[in-house]
Amino acid sequence: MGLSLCLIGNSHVAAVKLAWSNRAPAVLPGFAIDFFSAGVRLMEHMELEGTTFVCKDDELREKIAFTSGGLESIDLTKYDAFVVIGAGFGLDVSGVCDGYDLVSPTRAPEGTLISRSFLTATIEANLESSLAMSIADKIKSVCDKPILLCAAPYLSERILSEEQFRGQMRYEDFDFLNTVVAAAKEAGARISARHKLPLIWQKEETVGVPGFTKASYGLNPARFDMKISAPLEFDRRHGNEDYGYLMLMAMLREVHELTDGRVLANAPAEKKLA
Amino acid sequence: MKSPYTDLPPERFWRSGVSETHPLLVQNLYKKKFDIGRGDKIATAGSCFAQHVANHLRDNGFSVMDVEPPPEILSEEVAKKFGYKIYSARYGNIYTVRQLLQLAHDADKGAVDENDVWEKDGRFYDALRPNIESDGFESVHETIALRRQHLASVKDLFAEMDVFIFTLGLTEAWINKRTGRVYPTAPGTIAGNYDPEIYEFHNFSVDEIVADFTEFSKLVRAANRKCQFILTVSPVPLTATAADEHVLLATTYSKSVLRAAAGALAKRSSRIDYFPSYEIIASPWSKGFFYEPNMRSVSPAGVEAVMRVFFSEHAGRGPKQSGLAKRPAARPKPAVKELSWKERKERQEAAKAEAEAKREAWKQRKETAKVTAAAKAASRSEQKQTPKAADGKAKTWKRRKQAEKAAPSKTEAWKERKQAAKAAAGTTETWKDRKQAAKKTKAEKTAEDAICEDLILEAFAPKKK
Repeated sequence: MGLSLCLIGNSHVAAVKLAWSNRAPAVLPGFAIDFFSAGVRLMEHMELEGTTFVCKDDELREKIAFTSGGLESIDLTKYDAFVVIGAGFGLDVSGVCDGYDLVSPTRAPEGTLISRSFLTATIEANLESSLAMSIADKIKSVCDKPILLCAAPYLSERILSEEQFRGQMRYEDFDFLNTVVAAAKEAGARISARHKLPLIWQKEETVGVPGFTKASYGLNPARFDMKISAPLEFDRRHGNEDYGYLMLMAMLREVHELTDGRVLANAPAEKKLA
Repeated sequence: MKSPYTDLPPERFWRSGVSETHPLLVQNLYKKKFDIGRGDKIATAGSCFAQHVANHLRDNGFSVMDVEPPPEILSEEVAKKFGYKIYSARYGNIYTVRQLLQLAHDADKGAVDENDVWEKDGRFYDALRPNIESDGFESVHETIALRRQHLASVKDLFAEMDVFIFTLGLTEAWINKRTGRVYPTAPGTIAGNYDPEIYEFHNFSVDEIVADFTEFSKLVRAANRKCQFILTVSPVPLTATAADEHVLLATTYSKSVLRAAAGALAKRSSRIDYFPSYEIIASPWSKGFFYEPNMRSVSPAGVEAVMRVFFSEHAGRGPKQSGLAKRPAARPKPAVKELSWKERKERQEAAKAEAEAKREAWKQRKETAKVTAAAKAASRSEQKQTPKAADGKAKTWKRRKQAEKAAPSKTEAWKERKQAAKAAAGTTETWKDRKQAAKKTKAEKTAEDAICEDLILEAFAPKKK
């Protein structure tokens, strides 16, 4: 019997969806994914009623219906596994360290010093209070199927050339950046263990400067012929289809493991990216 | 016959001042020596009881300084776990005056001693504030770097504060025999290792405490002439004593010494005030009501009672808040004999009648005021119609207006208060700056939201064949 996977998240779902549509890997017969995606602000209007996520906002309902192919609510009993993508669960190095710095033996502090333990606690508190955790906890409260957390991609490394980052030595200090990433992973691992939810971070090959996504895996709005009225030269937060493919494969492998091999048709060899 | 006690007010007698007055309706227990305005920069420190003071001051609109704020994205709970948002700087509990004096000297010189780093299970603790990082620091280097930063912040704090509220907590302390450094906790409790060759117990005397605080205040005032001090004694008993006696005796000794020292300091200087939080909580008056069942922690009701007395005198120079208004004076109780049930009933009836009469009188006054207001309004409209006749009054009105103009307006006073508060918070950011930054952030957010929306549309739109 095929496995039915429910994939919920914010705009980071899009990269995975593009990969699923354009480069679907070989999966077992009957395997299907339902995607549910909307912005975090809208997703906050999603409430659990019994075993169903119900949209308490018209715009959200519209988005959920659009991304799922017509479903206006999420009946959790229909699915064998869940993946929660992004939705505030991720590491934003520049956000976490805005005005703060870690002790470095090689450079002067660029902001108020905080301890490594305090940094980890800060990140942990942020992850814990994310919408992703709230969604995962709600699912967990009504069903015992596997739930996988999938962190949002790091910011694009291209932002490091922006004026606000230029001249800040800590963004050139790989020890500092590696420490922040390690703190985030430590915080994520603690949460994962506490909630008994497996967690995957973005693939190492997509990471350029530690804590930042390689430009080649970042979204280029022009490539998708997007009509964006806002004055942004490039997107800072989203992965592209190549990124989405790697994440899709990582999460399918993980769900495959969690469901005793009910997802992938054969041992997947990652497709060479164009 | 007359005695020196004959004409004294009721609060000078135990019966009328204490035993016949409800502790929540206390009167004249505390008279401030100096004003604290809402714009005055207040710093707090001391033993754990001092935490409550800062919280309540902040909640009541006073400018409590925080020179080491945590990242804004952090929850209050996590911040407090790491020693942020508890006092005006991240110094943790300062139990003894010697510890406070040592901090002031260290801050003044930027002095950090590596001997004051304690190790436990591969983690490192700042022995002078071991509670601020419950899991310790990663390295000696990190511990020292954060201590240096802390001292620089404390130096700024002591130079900037207008009022320093310090709660004296303990007389007992542990001292490094070689360096003379005093610690807030015994070595071996949170971290470190107790070695009698290195550390010794010391129980401070009144004279030592008075001398230490005098030196501290001189040091502060050398850089900050305007600073004034409020001392309180923590009503929280000792958790344990290293003195060779019962903990109850040690507590009584410790609190007595602290109270005597605080009293002596306040008597000597017009710039040092004593606030009686200890008496409110710990005296027989409150019958232990303000303690939690462990007879040690102070209950929220106790803290409320303390702060109510504080705010009855220090309501700030701004408008008083309704919740802080003085409570009505306790009705003096008959001092001669207990009343019988009948007499009490009669008095109650009389009080009822009196209250009814007061209500009636109030109603009448209200009616009269209404009639007077109507008459005034009619007269004003008449004056408008005959401007010449009203010329004299108009001139007076003009003069009043001009005088009002000359005096600082309410808006200006508000601006001054705002600026003072801003200075206390240590920001030079203007309203315009904030608005522009918000605008920029909003534009960026809108742009990012647009990308999110477009991305979802792009990814999920039906494919063109």
